[in-house]
Amino acid sequence: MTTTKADAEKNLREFLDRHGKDGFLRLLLTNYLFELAMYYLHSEKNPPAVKEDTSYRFYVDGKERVYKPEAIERFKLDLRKECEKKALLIIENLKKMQLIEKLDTDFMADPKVAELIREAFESLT
Amino acid sequence: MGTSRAAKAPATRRWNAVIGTLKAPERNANAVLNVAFSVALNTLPTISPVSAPIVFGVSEGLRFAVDVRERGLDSAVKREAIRVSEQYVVPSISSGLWDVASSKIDPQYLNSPFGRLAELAFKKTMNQVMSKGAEALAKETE
Repeated sequence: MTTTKADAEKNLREFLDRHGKDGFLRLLLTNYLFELAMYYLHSEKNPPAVKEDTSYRFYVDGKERVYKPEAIERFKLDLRKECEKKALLIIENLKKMQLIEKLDTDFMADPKVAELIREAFESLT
Repeated sequence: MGTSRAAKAPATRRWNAVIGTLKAPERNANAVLNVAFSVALNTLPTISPVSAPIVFGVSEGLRFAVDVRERGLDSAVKREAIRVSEQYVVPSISSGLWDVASSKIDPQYLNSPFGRLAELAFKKTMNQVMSKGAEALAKETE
Protein backbone atom coordinates (compact mmCIF):
# COMPACT_ATOMS: atom_id res chain seq x y z
CA MET A 1 0.00 0.00 0.00
CA THR A 2 1.33 3.44 -0.91
CA THR A 3 2.14 5.82 1.91
CA THR A 4 0.18 9.06 1.57
CA LYS A 5 1.42 12.51 2.56
CA ALA A 6 -0.76 12.34 5.66
CA ASP A 7 0.77 8.97 6.61
CA ALA A 8 4.30 10.26 6.04
CA GLU A 9 3.61 13.28 8.25
CA LYS A 10 2.08 11.14 11.00
CA ASN A 11 4.99 8.69 10.86
CA LEU A 12 7.63 11.41 11.01
CA ARG A 13 5.96 13.04 14.02
CA GLU A 14 5.56 9.67 15.74
CA PHE A 15 9.23 8.83 15.17
CA LEU A 16 10.48 12.15 16.56
CA ASP A 17 8.08 12.02 19.53
CA ARG A 18 9.18 8.50 20.46
CA HIS A 19 12.91 8.59 19.63
CA GLY A 20 13.83 12.27 19.34
CA LYS A 21 16.74 13.69 17.35
CA ASP A 22 19.05 11.09 18.91
CA GLY A 23 16.93 8.31 17.44
CA PHE A 24 17.08 9.81 13.97
CA LEU A 25 20.84 10.18 14.25
CA ARG A 26 21.17 6.62 15.54
CA LEU A 27 19.21 5.16 12.62
CA LEU A 28 20.93 7.24 9.95
CA LEU A 29 24.46 6.66 11.25
CA THR A 30 23.81 2.94 11.70
CA ASN A 31 22.53 2.70 8.12
CA TYR A 32 25.56 4.62 6.87
CA LEU A 33 28.13 2.61 8.80
CA PHE A 34 26.50 -0.60 7.62
CA GLU A 35 26.73 0.57 3.98
CA LEU A 36 30.36 1.51 4.63
CA ALA A 37 31.11 -1.92 6.12
CA MET A 38 29.44 -3.73 3.21
CA TYR A 39 31.39 -1.58 0.74
CA TYR A 40 34.75 -2.52 2.24
CA LEU A 41 33.84 -6.15 2.96
CA HIS A 42 32.86 -6.66 -0.69
CA SER A 43 36.09 -5.29 -2.10
CA GLU A 44 38.24 -7.12 -4.58
CA LYS A 45 41.94 -7.97 -4.49
CA ASN A 46 44.49 -5.22 -4.89
CA PRO A 47 47.85 -6.85 -5.69
CA PRO A 48 50.59 -6.87 -4.66
CA ALA A 49 49.40 -5.88 -1.16
CA VAL A 50 46.11 -7.80 -1.15
CA LYS A 51 45.98 -10.97 -3.23
CA GLU A 52 42.55 -12.26 -2.23
CA ASP A 53 39.02 -10.95 -2.85
CA THR A 54 37.47 -9.85 0.44
CA SER A 55 34.02 -10.36 -1.11
CA TYR A 56 34.87 -14.05 -1.67
CA ARG A 57 35.78 -14.49 1.98
CA PHE A 58 32.51 -12.88 2.99
CA TYR A 59 30.66 -15.87 1.54
CA VAL A 60 33.23 -18.71 1.70
CA ASP A 61 34.95 -19.83 4.91
CA GLY A 62 38.62 -20.64 5.51
CA LYS A 63 38.02 -24.29 4.55
CA GLU A 64 36.47 -23.30 1.21
CA ARG A 65 32.92 -24.13 2.28
CA VAL A 66 30.18 -21.72 1.19
CA TYR A 67 28.30 -20.26 4.15
CA LYS A 68 24.61 -21.13 4.28
CA PRO A 69 22.30 -18.19 3.44
CA GLU A 70 21.02 -18.15 7.05
CA ALA A 71 24.58 -17.86 8.38
CA ILE A 72 25.30 -14.98 6.00
CA GLU A 73 22.12 -13.18 7.04
CA ARG A 74 22.96 -13.73 10.72
CA PHE A 75 26.46 -12.36 10.17
CA LYS A 76 25.03 -9.28 8.43
CA LEU A 77 22.69 -8.75 11.36
CA ASP A 78 25.63 -9.04 13.78
CA LEU A 79 27.58 -6.54 11.69
CA ARG A 80 24.63 -4.18 11.78
CA LYS A 81 24.47 -4.41 15.57
CA GLU A 82 28.18 -3.59 15.75
CA CYS A 83 27.57 -0.62 13.43
CA GLU A 84 24.87 0.57 15.77
CA LYS A 85 27.31 0.43 18.71
CA LYS A 86 29.73 2.59 16.72
CA ALA A 87 26.91 4.98 15.82
CA LEU A 88 26.11 5.34 19.52
CA LEU A 89 29.78 6.10 20.24
CA ILE A 90 29.74 8.88 17.65
CA ILE A 91 26.52 10.27 19.17
CA GLU A 92 28.16 10.21 22.63
CA ASN A 93 31.08 12.18 21.22
CA LEU A 94 28.73 14.70 19.60
CA LYS A 95 26.92 15.11 22.92
CA LYS A 96 30.18 15.70 24.80
CA MET A 97 31.00 18.39 22.23
CA GLN A 98 27.50 19.87 22.69
CA LEU A 99 26.85 19.55 18.97
CA ILE A 100 23.59 17.57 19.03
CA GLU A 101 21.44 20.69 19.30
CA LYS A 102 23.25 22.31 16.39
CA LEU A 103 22.78 19.42 13.99
CA ASP A 104 19.64 20.81 12.34
CA THR A 105 21.34 24.12 11.55
CA ASP A 106 23.93 25.05 8.90
CA PHE A 107 26.67 24.26 11.40
CA MET A 108 29.16 22.87 8.85
CA ALA A 109 29.81 26.41 7.64
CA ASP A 110 31.76 26.96 10.88
CA PRO A 111 35.25 25.46 10.42
CA LYS A 112 35.62 24.87 14.19
CA VAL A 113 32.42 22.83 14.23
CA ALA A 114 33.48 20.93 11.11
CA GLU A 115 36.72 20.05 12.92
CA LEU A 116 34.77 18.78 15.96
CA ILE A 117 32.61 16.63 13.69
CA ARG A 118 35.77 15.07 12.27
CA GLU A 119 36.94 14.35 15.81
CA ALA A 120 33.61 12.75 16.68
CA PHE A 121 34.10 10.28 13.82
CA GLU A 122 37.67 9.43 14.86
CA SER A 123 36.25 6.75 17.18
CA LEU A 124 35.70 4.66 14.01
CA THR A 125 39.44 4.22 13.58
CA MET B 1 37.72 -8.66 -19.30
CA GLY B 2 36.19 -8.31 -15.88
CA THR B 3 32.83 -6.66 -15.29
CA SER B 4 33.03 -6.43 -11.50
CA ARG B 5 31.92 -3.10 -10.01
CA ALA B 6 33.42 -3.86 -6.61
CA ALA B 7 35.94 -1.44 -5.20
CA LYS B 8 39.51 -2.57 -4.74
CA ALA B 9 40.69 -3.37 -1.23
CA PRO B 10 42.80 -0.66 0.40
CA ALA B 11 46.33 -0.91 -1.00
CA THR B 12 47.99 -2.06 2.20
CA ARG B 13 49.15 -5.44 3.44
CA ARG B 14 47.34 -4.67 6.68
CA TRP B 15 44.08 -5.41 4.83
CA ASN B 16 45.02 -9.09 4.91
CA ALA B 17 44.21 -8.97 8.64
CA VAL B 18 40.59 -8.25 7.67
CA ILE B 19 40.56 -11.27 5.39
CA GLY B 20 42.03 -13.23 8.28
CA THR B 21 39.14 -12.25 10.56
CA LEU B 22 36.69 -13.32 7.84
CA LYS B 23 38.46 -16.68 7.49
CA ALA B 24 38.45 -17.38 11.23
CA PRO B 25 36.57 -20.60 12.14
CA GLU B 26 34.19 -18.63 14.39
CA ARG B 27 34.13 -15.29 12.63
CA ASN B 28 33.18 -12.46 14.87
CA ALA B 29 31.39 -9.34 13.60
CA ASN B 30 32.97 -7.12 16.24
CA ALA B 31 36.50 -8.17 15.25
CA VAL B 32 35.79 -7.98 11.52
CA LEU B 33 34.31 -4.50 11.76
CA ASN B 34 36.96 -3.10 14.10
CA VAL B 35 39.85 -4.31 11.96
CA ALA B 36 38.15 -3.32 8.67
CA PHE B 37 37.33 0.24 9.76
CA SER B 38 40.66 0.72 11.47
CA VAL B 39 42.73 -0.40 8.47
CA ALA B 40 40.55 1.18 5.79
CA LEU B 41 40.07 4.56 7.42
CA ASN B 42 43.72 4.85 8.42
CA THR B 43 44.68 4.64 4.76
CA LEU B 44 42.82 7.92 4.18
CA PRO B 45 44.71 11.20 4.75
CA THR B 46 41.77 12.46 6.84
CA ILE B 47 38.39 11.13 7.92
CA SER B 48 36.56 14.12 6.41
CA PRO B 49 35.54 12.34 3.18
CA VAL B 50 33.79 9.75 5.37
CA SER B 51 32.16 12.12 7.85
CA ALA B 52 31.21 15.15 5.74
CA PRO B 53 28.60 13.72 3.32
CA ILE B 54 26.59 11.94 5.99
CA VAL B 55 26.70 14.90 8.37
CA PHE B 56 25.09 17.09 5.72
CA GLY B 57 22.44 14.38 5.40
CA VAL B 58 21.92 14.39 9.16
CA SER B 59 21.50 18.14 9.12
CA GLU B 60 19.01 18.16 6.24
CA GLY B 61 17.02 15.20 7.54
CA LEU B 62 16.72 16.60 11.04
CA ARG B 63 15.81 20.07 9.86
CA PHE B 64 13.08 18.63 7.68
CA ALA B 65 11.74 16.34 10.42
CA VAL B 66 11.57 19.18 12.94
CA ASP B 67 9.94 21.41 10.34
CA VAL B 68 7.29 18.78 9.63
CA ARG B 69 6.57 18.46 13.35
CA GLU B 70 6.23 22.22 13.77
CA ARG B 71 4.57 23.32 10.53
CA GLY B 72 3.30 20.21 8.81
CA LEU B 73 4.50 18.27 5.75
CA ASP B 74 3.01 20.53 3.07
CA SER B 75 4.73 23.58 4.49
CA ALA B 76 8.04 21.71 4.98
CA VAL B 77 8.20 20.42 1.39
CA LYS B 78 7.27 23.87 0.09
CA ARG B 79 10.11 25.48 2.07
CA GLU B 80 12.61 23.02 0.58
CA ALA B 81 11.05 23.36 -2.91
CA ILE B 82 10.59 19.60 -3.15
CA ARG B 83 8.31 18.21 -5.84
CA VAL B 84 6.26 15.40 -4.31
CA SER B 85 5.00 12.60 -6.56
CA GLU B 86 1.42 11.60 -5.74
CA GLN B 87 2.24 7.99 -6.58
CA TYR B 88 5.62 7.78 -4.83
CA VAL B 89 5.25 10.21 -1.95
CA VAL B 90 7.97 8.91 0.36
CA PRO B 91 10.75 8.18 -2.18
CA SER B 92 10.16 11.49 -3.93
CA ILE B 93 10.53 13.42 -0.66
CA SER B 94 13.67 11.46 0.30
CA SER B 95 15.17 12.05 -3.11
CA GLY B 96 14.30 15.76 -3.06
CA LEU B 97 15.82 16.16 0.40
CA TRP B 98 19.05 14.50 -0.70
CA ASP B 99 19.21 16.90 -3.64
CA VAL B 100 19.03 19.78 -1.15
CA ALA B 101 21.68 18.23 1.13
CA SER B 102 24.00 17.32 -1.74
CA SER B 103 23.96 20.88 -3.11
CA LYS B 104 25.87 21.87 0.05
CA ILE B 105 28.46 19.09 -0.05
CA ASP B 106 31.90 19.62 -1.54
CA PRO B 107 31.69 17.86 -4.95
CA GLN B 108 34.91 15.93 -4.30
CA TYR B 109 33.20 14.32 -1.28
CA LEU B 110 29.79 14.02 -2.93
CA ASN B 111 31.16 12.18 -5.97
CA SER B 112 33.32 9.85 -3.88
CA PRO B 113 32.22 6.34 -2.85
CA PHE B 114 31.42 7.80 0.58
CA GLY B 115 29.09 10.34 -0.99
CA ARG B 116 27.23 7.55 -2.76
CA LEU B 117 27.05 5.46 0.43
CA ALA B 118 25.76 8.49 2.34
CA GLU B 119 23.07 9.01 -0.32
CA LEU B 120 21.96 5.37 -0.03
CA ALA B 121 21.86 5.51 3.77
CA PHE B 122 20.08 8.87 3.81
CA LYS B 123 17.32 7.83 1.41
CA LYS B 124 16.89 4.49 3.17
CA THR B 125 16.58 6.22 6.56
CA MET B 126 14.08 8.82 5.38
CA ASN B 127 12.04 6.11 3.63
CA GLN B 128 12.04 4.00 6.81
CA VAL B 129 11.02 6.87 9.07
CA MET B 130 8.27 8.17 6.78
CA SER B 131 6.82 4.75 6.01
CA LYS B 132 7.23 2.96 9.37
CA GLY B 133 7.16 5.75 11.97
CA ALA B 134 8.52 4.86 15.42
CA GLU B 135 8.78 1.21 14.37
CA ALA B 136 11.61 2.12 11.97
CA LEU B 137 14.12 2.14 14.82
CA ALA B 138 12.57 -0.70 16.80
CA LYS B 139 12.54 -3.03 13.77
CA GLU B 140 16.11 -2.24 12.78
CA THR B 141 17.51 -2.93 16.23
CA GLU B 142 15.67 -6.18 17.00
